[in-house]
Amino acid sequence: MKFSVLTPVFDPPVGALRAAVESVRAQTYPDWELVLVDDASTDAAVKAALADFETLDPRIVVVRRASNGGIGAASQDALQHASGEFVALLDHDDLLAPHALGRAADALAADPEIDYLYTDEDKVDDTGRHYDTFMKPEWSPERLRGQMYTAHLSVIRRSIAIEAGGFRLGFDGSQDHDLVLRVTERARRIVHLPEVLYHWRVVPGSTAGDPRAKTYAWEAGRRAVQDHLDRIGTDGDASLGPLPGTYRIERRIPAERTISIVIPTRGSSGLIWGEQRCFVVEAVRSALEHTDHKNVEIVAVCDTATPAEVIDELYVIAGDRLTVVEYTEPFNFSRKCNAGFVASQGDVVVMLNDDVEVISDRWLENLCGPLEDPTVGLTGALLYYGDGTVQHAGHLYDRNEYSHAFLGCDPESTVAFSALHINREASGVTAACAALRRDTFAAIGGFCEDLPGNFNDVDFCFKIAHAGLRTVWLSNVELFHFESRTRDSTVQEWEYKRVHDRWGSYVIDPMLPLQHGPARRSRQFAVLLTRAITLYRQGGTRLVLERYRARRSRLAMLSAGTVASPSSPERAARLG
Amino acid sequence: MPQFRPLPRRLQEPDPATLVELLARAVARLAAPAVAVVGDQPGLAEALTARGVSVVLLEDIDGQSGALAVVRADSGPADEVLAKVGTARVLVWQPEDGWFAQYVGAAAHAGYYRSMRRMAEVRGASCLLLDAGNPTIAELVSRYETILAGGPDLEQELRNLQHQLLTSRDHAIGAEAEFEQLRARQAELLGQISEMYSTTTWRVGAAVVAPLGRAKRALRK
Repeated sequence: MKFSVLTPVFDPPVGALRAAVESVRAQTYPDWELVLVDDASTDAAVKAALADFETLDPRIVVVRRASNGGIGAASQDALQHASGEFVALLDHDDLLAPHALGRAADALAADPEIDYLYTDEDKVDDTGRHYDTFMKPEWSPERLRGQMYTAHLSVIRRSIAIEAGGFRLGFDGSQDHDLVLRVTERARRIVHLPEVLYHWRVVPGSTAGDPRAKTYAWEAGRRAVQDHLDRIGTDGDASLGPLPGTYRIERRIPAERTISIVIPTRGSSGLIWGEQRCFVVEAVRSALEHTDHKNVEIVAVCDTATPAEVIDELYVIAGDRLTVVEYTEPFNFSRKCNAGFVASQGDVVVMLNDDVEVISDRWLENLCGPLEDPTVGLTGALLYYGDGTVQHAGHLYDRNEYSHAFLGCDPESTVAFSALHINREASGVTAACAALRRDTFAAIGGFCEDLPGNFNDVDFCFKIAHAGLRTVWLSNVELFHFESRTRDSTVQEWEYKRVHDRWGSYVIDPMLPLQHGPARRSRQFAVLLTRAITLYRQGGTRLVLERYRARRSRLAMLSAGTVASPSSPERAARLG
Repeated sequence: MPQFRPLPRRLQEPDPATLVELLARAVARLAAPAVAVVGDQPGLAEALTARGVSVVLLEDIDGQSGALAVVRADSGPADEVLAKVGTARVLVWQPEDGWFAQYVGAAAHAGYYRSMRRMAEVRGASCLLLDAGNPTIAELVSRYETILAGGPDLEQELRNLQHQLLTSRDHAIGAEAEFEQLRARQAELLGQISEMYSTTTWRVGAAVVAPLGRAKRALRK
């Protein structure tokens, strides 16, 4: 299996170029060629270095362009001169880890259907310090639309790259994003190698150092994403995201699509921002106010104790779109949701807690839009606490715990490579705001009624994954969630065990692998401290100690052994 | 393109094989002494015969009382066909939608009325059971009021069944997942055991202890 390493060259620092070439020559895997395309460099030292390389190793091919055509044209020349079965993309000042091609060869040999493979990466500065390790998620197509996360090292089957049309002109700076989008539309199998095999050099003016350095690349990326949406038939618009290199997608849904919003409630009221409000009334009001979609049904699953005036008010807001289901049994969130589903009629079912308030416009369109793709099973939203900090940005199944990602974070935070600002696949999402197709809900058996209070959504998300469907978390669907204002959220030991017995747990979340470095540990400590203070305010020292003991015993139980699930090889590899 | 498959709001049209099966089951349950088949449905006559029901052609059934006829709705004008079969009971079928109301109206002119007998096989949109008779207006009103009063109960029953189906599916999926977990755990433990057997410590220990074991067995004898 031969690799062609493609490197367009234009006036890099000569030392960095030599280091890049040497990193290829130092590969433990011998069957490679390095295609260097000089895009009419003006630096004589670069030209001399390229001439040196030609004589240095017969596996190095130097192609010289007559005029500067930009990185897209140079990359395309490199692809045309490549002869390997696979092409690997290397920038002229970056470094490959010595075993990069060897590891890729092992993975590709193990599965002949792999057409695209990507690895983790880090950054390296001019002193040789490595930092900013990007542990990437498993194949995450939604994230690729929001960010060129696969970037380096990318290894593509050459025949697929050519069939996809190679590098296109007019996408300079995002030419690799554009190509990878087209390749992944055709690829039979896409694989992530969870190992740092590429070192991205930070030099002044490079995107690695300052993503704002190449705004033209950002715009080119947006066009690449829009073209991709058009090709795959997604009805939506790509726009520049809140952070450089990120993109937002505003989706549209067919007008005839019927959507049922199922809200379990008991009609509770409480004080929010100094004002007394009935939660469900505000939830329904804000849900209907922030959507243009007309074909919406509200299914309120009301406890018998729900005040009649609350139901009257819901009728005033929702009119004939309201269906009220009386729930006469003891509290069971799962059973209420299932009852709501059975009474609903929509093609799409949105599960919504009554203690939420919708913030973003077109929330329903964006929440339900991804479900037009049959491979997406469940979508979720970005939820904030009343104080504006993040309550939910997807689930995090990590270190054998089930928790919310970025809990307590500042929403402006750029942690985890912009993961808080882009739509992406997640291992799970909260049922406080989640949407799925009707057939999916029925096929997975709804919510587990053995879990009446907590973790029913974790179990639900595992069932979605078990059915082979993706869960997508959407950063542009925002709500306030005044969590647990309407009920106690204490997690019981048996609830955790119930889910764990069914599905096991992850040491590293496959869709949001986070580094457990000092920064993360201090953030976790800050979150724990905040939780402890909240608990102390709610129930004093007794409650804090009670929760601490529960957590400690759960961790002790887990340390006795984590059970691996054989449902997928990737998952099994990730499990402890 | 995505396939949206909402749950049926009423029973869906069965496929041809299922329809034949439903009709055959219904005929067997009605236990009529004779049956005529009007209209072409491949396999229907054979399915009836297989269930011990004698199949008679339409031209032969003329004038036989007490028999059951199985009639395809588009075999001809309802009043003409029903007058020709003249049986006490007629099972009408057609695997398309939207023919019920018109057919029942026409059948009434031929002296046939919708049967009050509740059979799962004929609850779908494809089948209709008619009884010959001449009910009074009071009887008809009584019948329809009874049916109307039973309607919401049926809906609630359907919802309950759908809910039960959900929870059953959840339990099945959960049980399967737990089984997978246990199987994986078993494989892991077996792996650990075989690893342990292959260690030098174990082999040396076993070699040391083996004579003692033999001695113990010898002493027992």
